[in-house]
Amino acid sequence: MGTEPHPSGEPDPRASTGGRPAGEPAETLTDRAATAFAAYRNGDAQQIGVLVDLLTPLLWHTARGQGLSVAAAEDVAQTAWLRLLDHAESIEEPRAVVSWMVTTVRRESWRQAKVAAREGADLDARAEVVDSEVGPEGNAVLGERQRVLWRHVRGLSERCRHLVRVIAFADKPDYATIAESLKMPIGSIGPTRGRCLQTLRASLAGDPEWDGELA
Amino acid sequence: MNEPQSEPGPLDEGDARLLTDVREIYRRLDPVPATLVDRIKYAMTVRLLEAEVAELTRMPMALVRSESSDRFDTISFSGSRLSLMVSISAETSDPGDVTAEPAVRVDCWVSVGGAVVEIRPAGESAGQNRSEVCDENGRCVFANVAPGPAHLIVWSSAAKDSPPTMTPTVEL
Repeated sequence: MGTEPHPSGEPDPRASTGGRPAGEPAETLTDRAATAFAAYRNGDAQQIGVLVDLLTPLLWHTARGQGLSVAAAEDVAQTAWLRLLDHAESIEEPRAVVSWMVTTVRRESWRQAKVAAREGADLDARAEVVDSEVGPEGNAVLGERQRVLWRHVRGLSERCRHLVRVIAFADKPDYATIAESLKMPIGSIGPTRGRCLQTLRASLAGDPEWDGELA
Repeated sequence: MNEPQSEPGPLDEGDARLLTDVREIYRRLDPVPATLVDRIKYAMTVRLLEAEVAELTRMPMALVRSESSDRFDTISFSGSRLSLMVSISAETSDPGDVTAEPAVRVDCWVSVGGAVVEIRPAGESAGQNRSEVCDENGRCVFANVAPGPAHLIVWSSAAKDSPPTMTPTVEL
């Protein structure tokens, strides 16, 4: 596979090296989270807010990808952050804060989903839209290329869809650790693309409507 | 769906682009609720300070800043240790100065003399905290405050040796 430049599409801010010399890896989500968390533990209380800004999208999609309603996912996110305050000292290595939070959200989401199922609560309408089909809402907010890609993402197994959704909010060097926090088997992603992305690419490659190149 | 026959190769640029697109799709279809981050930070602050959340006892018609320059909203809060009245008014600046940033003046009256009031902005101005010590009558004034959502935290003494009282988020 070649390495043609991306035809359209916006530049990915994460792909930038942030002014570092070429070849030196850019700071990843885990790096930035570790810096903020270490500073918080050293007494800079403001840094916990920086950490919330950094990790909330990742945690939101972790919870929503497990089928929680908007209200339940908000609840899980808030609970996980409060739990971090209680356990901040027990996390030995600042870099572990990302997997600690993803694991906490995954477990709490699982617990909440079980409660919701037992109570026969309605699964959230928006979760249905997001995970089963693009409703009128989706058609309005997605571009043509995104609609095609979305159709194939929807075709993935539930576990693969969850994995792809969550790691899309992280950086490449962090994929393997995050996959592990999601209880995905080792090798499900990083350093290879793993089965889920391989399946997605194979499915896109067979679709004449997909005009995005894959290499 | 066809299962791929080959072993998955290393992650490449094509994967990076796909994941960027997937992220954008989920951002559009299922965005993080706009106020979630601020609500999380608020709950964490309450927990960290072991603060008591004051109840709103009196509020203006709307908790939203009106655009009229003569506006003067008064909001009252009460907790078990103290109560607080806050008046928010537009800062009078030179009407000819079009470059002036909008600003508000916040007048506070605390039921305890010598209390410390801190304004903690949420959202864009987060981190730009302002603090004043009230006089023996519990009065203090903040001039030139950036408008926007914020909450106020009140300690009953400058020593901050007892847990503070915190207001819900209000629009300054």
